[in-house]
Amino acid sequence: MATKVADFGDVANANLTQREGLSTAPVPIAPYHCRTFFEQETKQIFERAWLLVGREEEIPEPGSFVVKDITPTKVNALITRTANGKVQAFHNTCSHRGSQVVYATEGRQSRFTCPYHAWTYKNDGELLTVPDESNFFDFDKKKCGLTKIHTEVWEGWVFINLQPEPEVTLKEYLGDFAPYFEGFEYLGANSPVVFEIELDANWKVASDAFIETYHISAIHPGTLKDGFTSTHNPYGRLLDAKVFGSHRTVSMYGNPNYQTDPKHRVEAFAASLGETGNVISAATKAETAKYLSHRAVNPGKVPPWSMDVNHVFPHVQIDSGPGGFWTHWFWPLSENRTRYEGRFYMAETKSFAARMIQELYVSRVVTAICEDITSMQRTQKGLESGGKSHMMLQDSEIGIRHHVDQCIKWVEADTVKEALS
Amino acid sequence: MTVLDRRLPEGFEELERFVDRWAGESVEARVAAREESAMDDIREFYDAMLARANDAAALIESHNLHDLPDPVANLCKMLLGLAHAASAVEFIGAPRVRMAPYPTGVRVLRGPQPFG
Ligand code: FES
Ligand SMILES: [Fe+2]
Repeated sequence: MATKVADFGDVANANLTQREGLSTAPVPIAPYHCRTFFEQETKQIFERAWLLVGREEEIPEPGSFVVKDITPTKVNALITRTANGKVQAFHNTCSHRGSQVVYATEGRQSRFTCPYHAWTYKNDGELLTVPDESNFFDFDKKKCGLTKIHTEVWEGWVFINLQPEPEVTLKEYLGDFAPYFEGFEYLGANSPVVFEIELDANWKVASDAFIETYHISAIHPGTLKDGFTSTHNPYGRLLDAKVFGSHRTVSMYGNPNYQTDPKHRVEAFAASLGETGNVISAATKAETAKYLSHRAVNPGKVPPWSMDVNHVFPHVQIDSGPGGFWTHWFWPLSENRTRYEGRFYMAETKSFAARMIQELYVSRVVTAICEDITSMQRTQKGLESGGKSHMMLQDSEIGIRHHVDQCIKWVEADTVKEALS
Repeated sequence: MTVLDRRLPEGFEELERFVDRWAGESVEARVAAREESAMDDIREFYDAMLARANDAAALIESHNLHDLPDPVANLCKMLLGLAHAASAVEFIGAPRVRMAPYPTGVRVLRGPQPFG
């Protein structure tokens, strides 16, 4: 097999796929369009795995709450921060006759009154008041609190587990990924710019498009190509990849000679305003240096680097680039529909120059997402047509191969321990 | 034009004709301005705004970004709009992304502040 990254002389990792213990055979595509497989994923993956559902900064102070649809399950989770700072998720279901208690999607309040008959709960789940309580039978208010969902916070990430009793702890679930990623600096984490789109594509079709750079020359010629490829690495082969149980990371090549094209006059104008430093996350030089020095950020510590994708199984990618981090969330809706949410963490600024650079960045992200929509949706149609049973993956598509492998493994495994083995 | 009709600071009268389309309040509105304009109109705005970009930036920078008087706020939103016009002129060569569906369905639930 030809050398891969070694071709441009910086890292000597040939054949990442076999090095990471994966097969090189064509990969089945039924997991991308088969309804039965989707139903199995719902039960065997999403109802058993620890699911990353948000960041602590979304509920910054006691009384803060968010409400999220944990698709593809039917769970609507109310996630609160109580007076003692504890983060806890609940089923957003009233103990009376089952209405959703909170209709808002976020806010700040320490009590919730169900709109239907006004049962009132505290944000730690306790049932406080019931109108005309004496008309109920053998009524024990203590037993009628909101139903808790198992909740853990790791490094600011909020995870839930929908099993009645989780088979494994979150630490066991994260495995070797935890020590690898611990200590990551979340620059600008409290103010994300949030993009959303519902795609006519399987959630894996969507996540696949964000963990490979093979498509960049073809799909993003004007927006991304010059940053991700060069004459040394014209197809954007990966710098490195590593699997951690069900999770994985890939490190992507960046063109070391990339310079702002002189025809990009608005970028040049924004740069000329003289704002230096990290205008996206507003981090100081020292904070940025510390962020960049982390083992998981540009793990090879090589100059031709653009970004890393850290895929936390099953449905979230945490990406790191030179200026900070961003996240992709792939919420499955059906076997051919996905709600994608992109969160790009950018600090609020007082400087117009920084604000202008943020707008340029946002504009680039919007156009790049639009460039991806059609190929994702056309891929779904092609997969569904039944013309093929397998797809061919190359070495730099290792992140895709590992993800499909893991989904199949979880679907087939009788226990979570077996899925993680 | 009388002083009362002015929606931009004095000295930027020649840009008044772009206010309706390009001074959108949010990122979504400015993306829509790009997507719904003809390429010639985008280029006309791009050239006119870029020619005055340094003057506009200097004026904006003399105020508090989060508390701009209305005419300066309009100018600021138009400069932010220039970022989107640049995507059309400098990057994709068209108002909309080639082959993307329209409407694209992309929503910006929260943009950078101010004028996100
Ligand atoms: S369903 Fe909530 S109070 Fe009746
Ligand atoms: Fe893409």
